[in-house]
Amino acid sequence: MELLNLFKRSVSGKSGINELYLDHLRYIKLLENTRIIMNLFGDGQEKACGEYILDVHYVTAMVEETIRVLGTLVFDACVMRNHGGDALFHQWDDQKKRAGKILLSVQNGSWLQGSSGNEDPEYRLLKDVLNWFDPEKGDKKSSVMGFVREIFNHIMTRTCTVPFPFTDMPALAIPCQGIVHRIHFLPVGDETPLSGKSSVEASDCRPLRVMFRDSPQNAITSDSGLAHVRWAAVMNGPFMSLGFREGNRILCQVDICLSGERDGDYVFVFMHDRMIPEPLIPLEFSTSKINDGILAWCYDRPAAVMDDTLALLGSRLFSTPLGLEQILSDIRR
Amino acid sequence: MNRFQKTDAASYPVRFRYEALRSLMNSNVHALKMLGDLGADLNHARYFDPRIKVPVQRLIHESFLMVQELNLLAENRYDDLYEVLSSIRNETERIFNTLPESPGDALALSLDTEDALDHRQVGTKASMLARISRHMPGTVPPGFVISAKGYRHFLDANDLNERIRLLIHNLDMRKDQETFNVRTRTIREWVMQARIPDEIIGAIEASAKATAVGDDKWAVRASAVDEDLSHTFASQYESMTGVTTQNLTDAYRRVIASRFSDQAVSYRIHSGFREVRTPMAVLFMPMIDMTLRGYIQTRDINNPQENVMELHIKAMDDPLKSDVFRVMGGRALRWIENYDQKDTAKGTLTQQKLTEERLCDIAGQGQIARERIGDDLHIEWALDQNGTLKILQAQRLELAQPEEMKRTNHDSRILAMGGISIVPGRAEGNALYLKSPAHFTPAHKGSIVIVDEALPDFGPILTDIAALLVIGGHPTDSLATLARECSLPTIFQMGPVARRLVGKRRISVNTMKRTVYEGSRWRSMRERVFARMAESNRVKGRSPLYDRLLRLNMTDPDQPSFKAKNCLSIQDTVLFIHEMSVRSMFGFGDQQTGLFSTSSRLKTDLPFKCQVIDMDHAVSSPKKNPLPEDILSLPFNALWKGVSDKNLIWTQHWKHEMAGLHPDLKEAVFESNKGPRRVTDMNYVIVSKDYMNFNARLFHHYIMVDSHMGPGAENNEIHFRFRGSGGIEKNRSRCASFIETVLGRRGFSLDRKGDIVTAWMRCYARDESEKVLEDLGRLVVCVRELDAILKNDADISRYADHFIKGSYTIFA
Amino acid sequence: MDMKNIKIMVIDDESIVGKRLKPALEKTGAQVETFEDPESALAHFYENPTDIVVTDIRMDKIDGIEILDRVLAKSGQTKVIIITGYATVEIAREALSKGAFDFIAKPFKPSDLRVIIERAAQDLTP
Repeated sequence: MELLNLFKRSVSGKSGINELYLDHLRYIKLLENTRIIMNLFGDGQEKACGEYILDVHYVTAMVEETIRVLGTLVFDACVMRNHGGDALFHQWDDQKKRAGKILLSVQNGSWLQGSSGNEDPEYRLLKDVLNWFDPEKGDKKSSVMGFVREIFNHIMTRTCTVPFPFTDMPALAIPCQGIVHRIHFLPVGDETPLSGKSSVEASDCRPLRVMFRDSPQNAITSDSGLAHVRWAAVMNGPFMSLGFREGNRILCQVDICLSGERDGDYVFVFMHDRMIPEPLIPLEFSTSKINDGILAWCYDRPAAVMDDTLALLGSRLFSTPLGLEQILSDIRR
Repeated sequence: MNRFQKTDAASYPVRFRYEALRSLMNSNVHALKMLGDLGADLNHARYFDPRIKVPVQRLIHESFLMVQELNLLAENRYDDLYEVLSSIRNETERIFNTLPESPGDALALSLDTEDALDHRQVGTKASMLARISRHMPGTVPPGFVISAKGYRHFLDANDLNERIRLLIHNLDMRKDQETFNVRTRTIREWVMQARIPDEIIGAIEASAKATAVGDDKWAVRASAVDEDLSHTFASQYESMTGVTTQNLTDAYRRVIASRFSDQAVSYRIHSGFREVRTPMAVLFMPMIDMTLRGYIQTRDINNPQENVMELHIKAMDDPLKSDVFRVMGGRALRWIENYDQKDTAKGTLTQQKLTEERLCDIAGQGQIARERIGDDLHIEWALDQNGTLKILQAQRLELAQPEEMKRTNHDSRILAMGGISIVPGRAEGNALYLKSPAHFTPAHKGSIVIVDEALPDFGPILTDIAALLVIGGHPTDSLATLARECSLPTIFQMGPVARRLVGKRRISVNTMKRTVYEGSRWRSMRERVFARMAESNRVKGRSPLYDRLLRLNMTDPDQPSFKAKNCLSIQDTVLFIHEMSVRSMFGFGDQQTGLFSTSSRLKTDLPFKCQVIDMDHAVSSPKKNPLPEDILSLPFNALWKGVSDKNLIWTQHWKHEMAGLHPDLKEAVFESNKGPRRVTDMNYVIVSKDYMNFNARLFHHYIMVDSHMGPGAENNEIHFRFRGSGGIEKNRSRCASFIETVLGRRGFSLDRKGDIVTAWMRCYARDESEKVLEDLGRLVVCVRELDAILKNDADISRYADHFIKGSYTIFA
Repeated sequence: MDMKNIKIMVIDDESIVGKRLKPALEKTGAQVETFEDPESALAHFYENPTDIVVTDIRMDKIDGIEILDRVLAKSGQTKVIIITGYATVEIAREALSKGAFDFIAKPFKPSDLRVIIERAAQDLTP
């Protein structure tokens, strides 16, 4: 049927490379939009402390922008993982209804009523909006942040339709504490960061170099008998996406931007529960539990701190791979 | 439930498709904006600047995602676009990884240093003097330059770059002189109030001390950088003489400020110069105590094939008075004649001071300079108290070669003769008398312009006219230099006889013969004139990124070459994606009607067929043929209010013209079978309570209106797209111009490519958005057969005025 | 010019602005008057021109750009600072090119505006 073809995506060869690259780009966009939502919330919290002069337009703009960005997140999530996307659209519709009530109160003037003597109505409205974002008590699932978690749930815990095209991706082998990590990199552009390189240090991919900075790499003469972990990496200027799957299930994905610009850099991680993620995620990360794993993120830090945090994550992931060992022993069995 | 049955609300695949289309609409506008910003950025920043690199990478990423969305809608029919984008991405990365050799970084340079030969550091004026000094030691007075780097440092230290860029954006003296004058004045004020960094002050003081000779008087001149070395910016910037050492810093600031005079800014904009490629260096030279001065042109511009130089001697008390001598070049210089016979046979000014032998000596210096530099030159010189020749300024002399043309009209009457040929050449056009350049409008493009005086203010229009006839003027005026740079056929000192030409429709001019004829005299002259104008208007010194990002190679979606694999730039790709996504809207509509019956025919008395696709219960009570009032969609209601305005007349011009003709013949004659839809195909409107996408073919034209309207303003947006198709090209173009004019006045942001007009408006409050949609509804009706009514370009404004005023009978 | 001698007029149709800015700016020592109605504000300005005018850009009856024009026409010395809740490039361009001293986007802290006002005060000739 024609409409089924709507979601049909090629799986082989060059198209497989394309799909991985497009997923990577789409995920970058999704992360940037998530950051917008988080910044809106953070900015709102800062303004709510009472020192600012703000007008009702600030609050309504926040509401409208949130709905717009949520819609973009939903759409991008459905492009990446189309199965089950209708539920996300319904949830977005629900969020629009809630937002609509807030905006209607501004239109009909009811927002001006009910303020206590000293509190300006703009501030009261802002607090209502922040409560919609992330209530301290009550139903968090239907909040904005709850919805964002749901969107990541959709992407990370659903089956990937397109496997990593490893056969078309050259690799660099990095032995680390008894495990050989084979980083298969996507050939983007004429010169890829790992082309012709024999070690991570020599690569042109800064995020990868930083990730392995504090992970001692062993010299090995033979890798027979060692467990191999295959990672797929997309390296794209200051961006890198590094992923590990079990079959078509994502077990670990690390997305990084290290441009040196504080307001643009981030590290975003998903780890499946099978990885036993808790000891692996450094304290510098903020975390949130979703269905089958943990989301963790770190941003808005000076460049040196970002580097250190990423190197710490890398050392734990590659040098003390608790969860990986379990997974690998399952594979060997 | 079978999801392919008609449902109360849209099923997931339908919803997904509709959201994909909306995403594409928004991405298209965003991409157009990014392309526009990049075009402006490349005017002010080097291509390897992070301010350029980051947005370029972002634009390429977004383009990939747009292609993915298009392929999701079109079942992977446009996979070729991935290769196109990959190629563009790879090439831009190669360009970014190749940094050009950077010029030196001295703030101040003496004219006798090696670096002073580098025009990128010191400007064309100073570098020319440095070269002459190198080849002819002792002829050029000492001097120093505050370099282009100094200029950039001055701007950076005062945070002026962004602010200047903000004000220069979209400036056009011809379209809005008042705004233009206000903004350039503001920039000059900023410069005059800016602090000169200590490093520059120190550099000026130290260099002046090292260079000073004799009297404490300096000449401070702009030495503009033109990285292509093709232009002199003659008299565009201020020069100051008699400046004391104490005031050199202030003089520096004034010269920088002169870069933003009305004339200079207008000249750069209209000549297509990018700000980043034309920074300014400033030349400081101690003044000569002179006994005599003048200039040399190493070639007679009227007879460039002869080896004859012109030597001008200026009166010390009146620079407009001069003696002019012609000197034969070659092995032995020979004085020929006093060219200007007005005063005396041999020139009273010079007679007492110079012998013929001395005249030839002076001219001989010009010949040596020409030989050493390898170019014909215009040289300003002076004799100091010892009688030694000093060269004060020199620039390349532009010599235009007249083309051979076949004469077609042997009987064309001579209307006027006389004057001095400044630039030889031929041209044809309507005669236009101008008192001021402000009276020049785009409709006057290609005219032969007649002016009273050779004011440099006319510089900006030179690239848009066929020829220039000046009633007064002097060959040494800067406007003459500018005309030469544009290779514009020009006559000066035509006298009052030129006024006879005013009001003449078509005239031809041969400036070499200093003759003006009635009517067209040469075959194909008009086309040659426009080709020359197009060449003159070509943007100078394009960034290496231009071709792969901004150049538009495909403009006609109806051409067989309009294919994915023929897209060469991001601009092409964005246009292609948008066109294909609009076509897929029609496909989507056809599917809903044919396969899934999830649409219904709109019931209306208007001669217009449209299917309604309801996304979220926007049709109040589902029925087979809803009336417009049954549709509870805010944007649709607003648009329909305009479409059904009782004051509009649904014209039937083409129907009457073609009455009785076979439909196939009608379609062939008007090419209305071109394009993805036939006139008889269905039109669609997708509605939800706060959204509408209206997509229609209305006779020749395709119109799309896409709008979201919510209770707040932030997410209110209206996108409009018009595409002409079929019919006569000129008429389609006029239609597009009409739409552009109306929407521009209405406050839309616009992008026009050929017959495709894309317009958008965002973040307006709901009631304002409703009014705009009503207007668009009226526009949709008025434009239906507009190509049958608009007969000439002058009608465009008139019809636009009527539309804006709400007077629609003219469209009948 | 010393802040104690500075007179400031604040014009914004949203009461929160005047209510919060008046005490915040009076801390600098300046004399501050606030208006919610731009027409009354202008009428008052014509009688008693102030040194600095802080005005919102979007108001119903008269917008900030018109206030800028009319204030400068009456008193070229007055420094006009624009408050905007819609920080757009076009508004910045128009305001700067018409002679606004500076602009600030909502939401802002009163201390941020104080910095701009102090700069404006320094530019004033006594």
